[in-house]
Amino acid sequence: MTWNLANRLLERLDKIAHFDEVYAHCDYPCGIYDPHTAQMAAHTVIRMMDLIKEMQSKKGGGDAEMLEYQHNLVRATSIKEQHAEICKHELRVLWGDYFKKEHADAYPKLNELVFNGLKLASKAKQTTDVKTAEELLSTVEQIAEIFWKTKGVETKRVTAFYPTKREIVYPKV
Amino acid sequence: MALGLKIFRVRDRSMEPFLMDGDFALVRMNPKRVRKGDIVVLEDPRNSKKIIKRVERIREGGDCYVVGDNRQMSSDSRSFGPVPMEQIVGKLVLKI
Repeated sequence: MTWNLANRLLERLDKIAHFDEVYAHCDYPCGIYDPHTAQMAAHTVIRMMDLIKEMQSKKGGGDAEMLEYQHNLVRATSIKEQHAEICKHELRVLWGDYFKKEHADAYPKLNELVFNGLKLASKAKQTTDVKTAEELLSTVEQIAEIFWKTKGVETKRVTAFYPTKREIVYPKV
Repeated sequence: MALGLKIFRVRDRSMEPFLMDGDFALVRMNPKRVRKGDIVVLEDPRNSKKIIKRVERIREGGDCYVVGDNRQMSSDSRSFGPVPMEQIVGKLVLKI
């Protein structure tokens, strides 16, 4: 009896007897990770910095205009702060829960990229210099590419359909 | 189950390439002896589901450190720690 035949026989038996399953399982509880949220957060940080800069050129001299300007500035700064933190959170989850030592061994830049990403996200809170946010996005994109490589999925860099008009990494599916 | 043997169907990919998703595994239940390198069925310490992994080493005191062959897609002793020998319920005899 060949193995092939044995396997076919067992397939048939399984339909009747329903063998117990044993899990060579990959993750728990869900294995659901995606670097997309970190990238969106980095884009939001860039967008807020762009808006803050735009506000400067538009601010009027009257009390009402000044109030409007201050209000919008506070909102944009607050959102920038929140999304830099979201970016940090997402990077921490990817690094702490998804990436394993084997990934870090296979992609020697990974640990440094995550380290830099966290630092850049902190720095992006402290500044309105868009270069910092762009560096953050670039770092997060590289992490996203490594993430998909570990899953054997190819990626593409495209201009995001966001007002930021910067790049984003998508899996080729 | 006869002669202490039981057939399981393997699910998921953490033991690839040796055991593929859908393979059948003939397992000796309540094995007398487990050694380094054996593929074992054990109860997941987190939810009591039966999982299949390879014994990487046996620590002093008998706890087993188990890992998936497909390390990049496995959660195992690297995340839940070594497991007591009592939790090893079977040992792979044959894959089909």
